[in-house]
Amino acid sequence: MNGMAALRADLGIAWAIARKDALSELRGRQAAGSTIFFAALVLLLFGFALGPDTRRLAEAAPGLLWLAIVFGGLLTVARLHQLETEDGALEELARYPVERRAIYLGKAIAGLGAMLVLGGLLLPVVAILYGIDLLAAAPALLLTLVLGAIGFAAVGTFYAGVTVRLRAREVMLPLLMLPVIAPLLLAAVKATAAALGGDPLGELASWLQLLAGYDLVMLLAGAAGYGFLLEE
Amino acid sequence: MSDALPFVVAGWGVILGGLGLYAATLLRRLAAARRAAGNEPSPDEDRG
Amino acid sequence: MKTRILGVVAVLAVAAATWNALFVVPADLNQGDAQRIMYVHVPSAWLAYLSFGVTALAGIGYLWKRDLRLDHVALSAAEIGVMFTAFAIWGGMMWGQPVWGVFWQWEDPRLTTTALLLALYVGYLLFRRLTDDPHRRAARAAVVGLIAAVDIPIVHFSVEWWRGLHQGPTIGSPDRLLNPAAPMQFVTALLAMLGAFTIAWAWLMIRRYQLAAAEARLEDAVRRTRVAEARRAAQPVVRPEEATR
Repeated sequence: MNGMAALRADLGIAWAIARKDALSELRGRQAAGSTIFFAALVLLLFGFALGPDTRRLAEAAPGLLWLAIVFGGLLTVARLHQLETEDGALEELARYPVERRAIYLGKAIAGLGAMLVLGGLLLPVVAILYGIDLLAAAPALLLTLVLGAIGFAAVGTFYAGVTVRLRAREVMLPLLMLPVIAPLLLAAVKATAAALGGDPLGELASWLQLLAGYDLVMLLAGAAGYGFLLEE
Repeated sequence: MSDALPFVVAGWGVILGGLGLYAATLLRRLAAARRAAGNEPSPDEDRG
Repeated sequence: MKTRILGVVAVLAVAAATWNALFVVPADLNQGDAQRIMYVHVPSAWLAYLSFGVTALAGIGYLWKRDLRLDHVALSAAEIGVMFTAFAIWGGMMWGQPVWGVFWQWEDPRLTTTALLLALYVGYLLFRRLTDDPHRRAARAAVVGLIAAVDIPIVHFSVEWWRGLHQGPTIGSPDRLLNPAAPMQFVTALLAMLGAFTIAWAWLMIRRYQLAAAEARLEDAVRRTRVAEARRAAQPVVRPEEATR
């Protein structure tokens, strides 16, 4: 198959996988919903830990939001890979002459979707609990959310694939993933804070650029690495 | 600034001590592993 | 035999460079004796990052050649790397307290990046233990090591950016040692320590590699025995009387 045709075939496969995962998510509504509820609960608990001074909570809000997204995200990417192991589907997929990059991409897209839903639902929770006005900064916030979610999905899909068949996977996934996700967290929180504060130092663009660069690098590295994983 | 002395001692001590400890442990583990592996010589190993 | 000589050389070199750094070289004008910690902190950091690079490259090499010896190299470099990373952080903290007044400084990109390096290494080593099959383990480790290696420059860059926007303190920068304006004696002392540590690193790598190879042979032998036992157990028992019929 020549280049363009192969690429289109890959994308088609990726999209098919993403749709399959999305359908599983929607049908198994309980698991996805529980994760979102858990993340909201984390935000609530932060309130107890750092409150009741609203000013302090408002200052910490960007960091707390993204921590909640990270915790919820860990559960999400793990769950998306669990779907396959339960009926050996991952092994099945790997056996077909399907480009492994396509599998990775499909799962990452599904992960992205789930992360966007998670983040989107957490925004109003943050607004209410920490007294933040989101509307003014909405476009910048959403852009940050999208870029952050892409990065998390890229890295998370890879590590979920790495840990899915291991014993002690519940702890290995965060243990391996969190150091890698540190720059993403840093940049996303800074961008969120800048967006909410009206970007006084004009740094928003820089942080978003860093996020975009991170996303690109991690998507490429994740796709490359994932291929070797399925080869076993 | 000789109130920095305890830090200098702690810094150097732990690092050099740690190096020595690790080296000693390595040699011990290596001897044990070689004994356990028996008489299976390997071409790329020097007995030095 | 050659390795043994290397080991002796390493010990002598470290001893000599240490003596020089602690008792011969004069103290820094601004940072006083605390600055001497740099002579052991900087080489540790250098070797930590070198080891990390070796781990990543050996992993890539394994994915390419599928030679388990490359995996032995990766493992050795990772274990030794963890140690030097811990040393680097410890040295950084011991230097930080007298000079900065605190053990930890978030805005120092080197310290924070090295802390994450430690986390990545530890994760790598723990991860390795969870797979028993040597080839699977090597492939998985290589892939994990690769992503971790990609992450390190990103981390360093983003922390530097993080600091840049906060006008971090510049009183004590570890960089001063490597500053071209630094007195020659300081630079030579640092280079001497760096050289001595690197020789020690080379010796440690060789020994750790030998250990990995020996343990791999052991693992192999154990596995072959188990397979043979399992086969024997699966065969039907033949009674001696029947066998001669």
